[in-house]
Amino acid sequence: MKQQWYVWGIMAVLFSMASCKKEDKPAIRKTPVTITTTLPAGIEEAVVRNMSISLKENNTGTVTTAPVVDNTVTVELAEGVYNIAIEGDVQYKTDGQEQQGKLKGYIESLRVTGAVAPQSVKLFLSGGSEGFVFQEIFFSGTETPQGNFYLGDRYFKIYNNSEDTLYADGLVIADSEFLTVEKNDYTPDIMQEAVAVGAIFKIPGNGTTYPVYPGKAIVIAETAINHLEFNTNSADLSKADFEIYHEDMDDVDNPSVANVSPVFGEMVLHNRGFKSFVLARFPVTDEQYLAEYKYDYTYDFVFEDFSFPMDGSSYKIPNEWVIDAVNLSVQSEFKWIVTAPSLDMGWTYSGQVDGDKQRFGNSVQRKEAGTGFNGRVILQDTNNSANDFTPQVKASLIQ
Amino acid sequence: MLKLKYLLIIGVLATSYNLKAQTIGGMVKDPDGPVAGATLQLYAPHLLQETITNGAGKFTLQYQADITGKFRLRITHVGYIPMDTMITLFPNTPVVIDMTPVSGTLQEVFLTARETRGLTTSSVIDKEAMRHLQPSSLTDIMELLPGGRSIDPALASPNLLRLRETGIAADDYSIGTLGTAFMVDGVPMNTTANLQYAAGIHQSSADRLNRINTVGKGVDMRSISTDNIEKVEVMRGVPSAEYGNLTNGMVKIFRKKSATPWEARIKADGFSSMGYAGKGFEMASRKLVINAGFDYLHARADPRTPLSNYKRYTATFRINKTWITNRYQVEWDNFADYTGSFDIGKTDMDDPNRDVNRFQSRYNKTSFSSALYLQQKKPAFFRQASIHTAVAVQRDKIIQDKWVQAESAQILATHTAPGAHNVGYLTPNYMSHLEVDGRPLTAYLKAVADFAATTGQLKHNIKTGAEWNYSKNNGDGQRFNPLYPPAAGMTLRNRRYKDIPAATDLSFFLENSTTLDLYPFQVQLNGGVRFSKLLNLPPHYTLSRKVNADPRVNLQTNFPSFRWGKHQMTTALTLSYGIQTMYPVLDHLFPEYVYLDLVQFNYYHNDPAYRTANVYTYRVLPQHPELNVARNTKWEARLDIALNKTRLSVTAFTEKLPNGFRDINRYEAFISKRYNSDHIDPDDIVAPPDIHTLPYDTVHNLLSYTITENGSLISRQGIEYQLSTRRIAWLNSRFTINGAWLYSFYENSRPLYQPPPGSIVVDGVRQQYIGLYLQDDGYKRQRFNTNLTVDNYLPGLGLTFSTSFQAMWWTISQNMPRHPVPLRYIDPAGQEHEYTSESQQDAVLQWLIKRNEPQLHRKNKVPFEMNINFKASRAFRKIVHISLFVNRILRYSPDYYSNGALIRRSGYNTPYFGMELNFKL
Repeated sequence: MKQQWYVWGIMAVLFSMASCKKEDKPAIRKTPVTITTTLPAGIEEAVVRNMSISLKENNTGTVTTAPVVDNTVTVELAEGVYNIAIEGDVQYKTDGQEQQGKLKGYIESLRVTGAVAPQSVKLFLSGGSEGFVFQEIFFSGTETPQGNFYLGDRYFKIYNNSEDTLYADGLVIADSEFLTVEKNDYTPDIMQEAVAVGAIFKIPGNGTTYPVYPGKAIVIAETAINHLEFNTNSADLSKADFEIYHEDMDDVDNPSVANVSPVFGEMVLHNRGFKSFVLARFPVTDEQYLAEYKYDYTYDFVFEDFSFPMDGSSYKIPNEWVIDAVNLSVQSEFKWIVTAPSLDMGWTYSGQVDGDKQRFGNSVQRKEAGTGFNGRVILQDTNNSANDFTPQVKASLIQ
Repeated sequence: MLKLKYLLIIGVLATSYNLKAQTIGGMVKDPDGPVAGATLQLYAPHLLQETITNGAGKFTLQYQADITGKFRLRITHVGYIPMDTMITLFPNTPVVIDMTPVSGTLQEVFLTARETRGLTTSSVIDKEAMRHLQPSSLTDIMELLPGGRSIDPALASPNLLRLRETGIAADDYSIGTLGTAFMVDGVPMNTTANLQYAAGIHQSSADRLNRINTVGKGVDMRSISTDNIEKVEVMRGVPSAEYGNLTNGMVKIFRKKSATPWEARIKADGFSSMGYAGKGFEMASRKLVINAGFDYLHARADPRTPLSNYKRYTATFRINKTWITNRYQVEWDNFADYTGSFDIGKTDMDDPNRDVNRFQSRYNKTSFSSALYLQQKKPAFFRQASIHTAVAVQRDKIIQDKWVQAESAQILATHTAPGAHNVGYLTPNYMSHLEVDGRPLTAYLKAVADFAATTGQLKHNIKTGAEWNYSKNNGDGQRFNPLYPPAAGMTLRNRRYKDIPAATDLSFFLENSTTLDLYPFQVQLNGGVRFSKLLNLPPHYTLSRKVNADPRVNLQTNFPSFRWGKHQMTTALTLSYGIQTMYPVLDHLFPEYVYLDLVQFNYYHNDPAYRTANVYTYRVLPQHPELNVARNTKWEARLDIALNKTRLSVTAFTEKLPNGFRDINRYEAFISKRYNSDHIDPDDIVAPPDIHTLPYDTVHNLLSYTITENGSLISRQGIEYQLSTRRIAWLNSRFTINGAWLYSFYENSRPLYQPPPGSIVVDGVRQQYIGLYLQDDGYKRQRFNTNLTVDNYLPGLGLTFSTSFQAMWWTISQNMPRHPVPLRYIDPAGQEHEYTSESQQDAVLQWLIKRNEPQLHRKNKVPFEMNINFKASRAFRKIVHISLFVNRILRYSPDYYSNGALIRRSGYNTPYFGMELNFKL
């Protein structure tokens, strides 16, 4: 609900702009414009640093910048139409936890002629990185009209949250080796440096094969076919951008949809949402990766009245390589998040309890933080999935 | 009161003959065994002779040779009713005298198991003990064995018996249960032809099909009801050469063969209800006894949500006829029995398909058996003979109706012929129907003869015989419509059990039991050998040419008895050695085909008309003609001490079985093509691509299938002990302390093929390599327990009650380090190579080295815990008995730390209780 409030606020500002406009006279004169910023709700003890405003006149391309002090700034502007961006660093607390983040705010196409009423910009929190983020993860599958579960229709939606065209080539998606519902003392503990991952796949391409425009997303389907043939409650994924094909009897390959390439293991999404996902880019070749990033661990499995030593082998992705991470769990079973808090300090869900039937047909979707220029939706990325995602919401590709 | 035929096989003293005096020998015993220190007085009519029995209850008396006719023999002993009996003396006839203890039957009533003092270490559980225990099936009475503990009935899955073993949850070590033989009235329960399973369905361990699978695991004790049983003898030691096709031990069940009033029993506990009715009729004039009985058991896995039900029905009709002539006593038993054992699955309330899903596993066994015993009444070389014949017909069926929903689109391969096939897709959802129809037919024939001979001071008892077993399955096997398989993605095809040949074995044994009286010692040496061979096997099977010999030796020495206070103390030491052999079952010998379907082309076009899938099907017969028998070697020593009805028995054993049956993975490279349609624009076609026009790569797929090998080692050591006191006055309490320290070690005894722990990537492509590792699993398990049972028998009040303190001092488990370096490896093309020291340096092959985390090999010790169980039974006018039991009425199990982690186990106690009503009319 909160992000909707922002959107309405920004839209109200824009409407008020439009209603205030007057006919210009062709004389160059400067008009003072006062812009006030308001902090996003829900953050406490905010300390704003390095906040600046950048005002770009759309016809001439002239850029005016100024620092913003104490949430307000007054700029002398020549007549014209301005796109205004405000950016700053912020230190704040949520739930008593100290956080670092970026604040952003935008005003699009502000017409400056004559006197301009004071402008107010609602700032939103933005993650440190700008680029690809998980927009949606649909991991739970659907329920057939007969009440059985159906799993082939699951997908990831990866969104370009930047203002530049990015290439999906080489993007890596991996699921966590550990479950968020089972906490053990895994030794060695690598969580501060890396994420222990199970299955890993990569989007193919030569580096510029798969452009993704700003504000656009790609869909990676578990099986990119029209699932409505199998289950009328499902989705048509035959137009997905990629599919995860396991060269095996229990999968089919749609020739019209490119396959992702497995790096390690076979990705099967945990349908109750006990595993977390990371989005990353590898600065090394797959071969190097597989040779050098193995993770062997041991732990004691403790269950009620017995304890048993166990071991396991998987891979790890260094935290610096991770672009985005989403922890998933269910409230009744949650034990821990399986990434470093610097990657994700909260978790989201599509079911409240283990095996919750309400999860079917529902996904987790990243909230919209605000709107950039050209109507580009900017998704909220504060590295806290509990805040950044709308949990248990109808999967966007299901009709 | 016990009508058992103790006349036989009682050790007999040598008799010598001279002109002046005759010597007569014999034995005094009570139902527990020999009575030492009994006074015998021979009158004719005045006192001629007087003597005292030795520690083994034996005596000798001398009398003048010219006195003939009847004599009066008076036998007295403190604590026994004095006996006066008229006997006719023959020089070579041993006299066996049964004495009755003074306190009526008090001393002979055992509400616990008692350890026998025979050559083979055994526990005997009488019907009184069974009645006191209130069992639902044979499983429950196994708590009375040394090392046993009471456990709550788990009637939703098969109950298998492990003797002298801690046990481990792994099918690789099923020989532990398969190797325990069960024999009912002399006829073994043959499970060789059991094939009730469905292969190829990816099963979780909780899956019903998997859970009820007892193929190659032995006898399911749930199916054995206890109400018709007179006594059970559990032979843990080295059995006579008479018994074969077992590795661990034997449970001998003797059913009632006597007149009884109408008996009825009704029992209910938290999980089950059961009922029994039966009677034994005797026509004394015709020497004919007929026993008949019927019982049922209904059980639920969980009383609140009846997801799994178990039902058992048994009916029995037995006739025993005796003829006595001057020379022979002939006994003829005929048995007709029916056992129905049914697992019925119900589905979860959450299961959307609960209205249509159905699961049943039925076991219907009808058996007819006949036994003829011929016994020479007078001493002669030939003593006795017996012939057993039995035929059992089973109708076993698994029926599963299951709504299958494809979780996504998938290919369906149904071809049984090897080669490339264009195939279709699985129907999105449908009703599947699976039947597994098994009709085991088993037949049994056994003939045994006993002879007695004397050489000098030595008395021989010679036993010889032959046994033949036939096991065939005439069922229609696994059947389902291949287009609608019971599980998506299964690799199973239909199979007819009828086509599998019968397993037949023939064995022959010879055994000599020699008694040597070296006064004051007495030595009994029993040595035998059993030869056996499997018949009807294809000639390329190793076992078709092999005769197995099982030597078995038991040596018992009775030491001189001496006086300890007012009583005689007797001591005996028994040393045993033996090899026991178990044959593979039908499923081990004749496994079914494995189908491997390799996808060659997978083209799931958006337009259904253009979809095409091509699969190469390989058919592999995972037979293992080199499969051999499993053999267990036992060594043990037992000390028995008796003093005034207080008896101590301590047995130390070591057993090693290096070649148990185990499923082992074989890897083989299977070649397939991978067709490529990348050059075809899927939006610009008018027909599905023809694979014959497509370019392809040839791919080696390193795939595995399992074969049965002699690859499991079980090594068992332990000490079993039992001390039982005489009944002590006032409450007539008997204290029984028993328990065992058991150490079991499990390990693969053949190298195992295993993939490396991670993936191996060469030039950016993942490659399949398989290592052959000398040792992969090794599990050490041990435990030490003591049960103290105080049972009180008050026949005057019709009251019996017992309290059992069952302490587990500790259990220890430890997993052994793996052998990290492979012996050999298989490359991606399926070629096998030596793994050398150069391989260890190789950039790729080094990944085959496994790591050993020290943490995995720590000892894990669970400390002390104890349960207290209470059982009571009260008779009213000897007609109605009301009994109740509470297991874990109290439980002491403190929390403890295991490697730093707190293990909470207090507060998990839920007592288990039940009660029953018995009527005797």
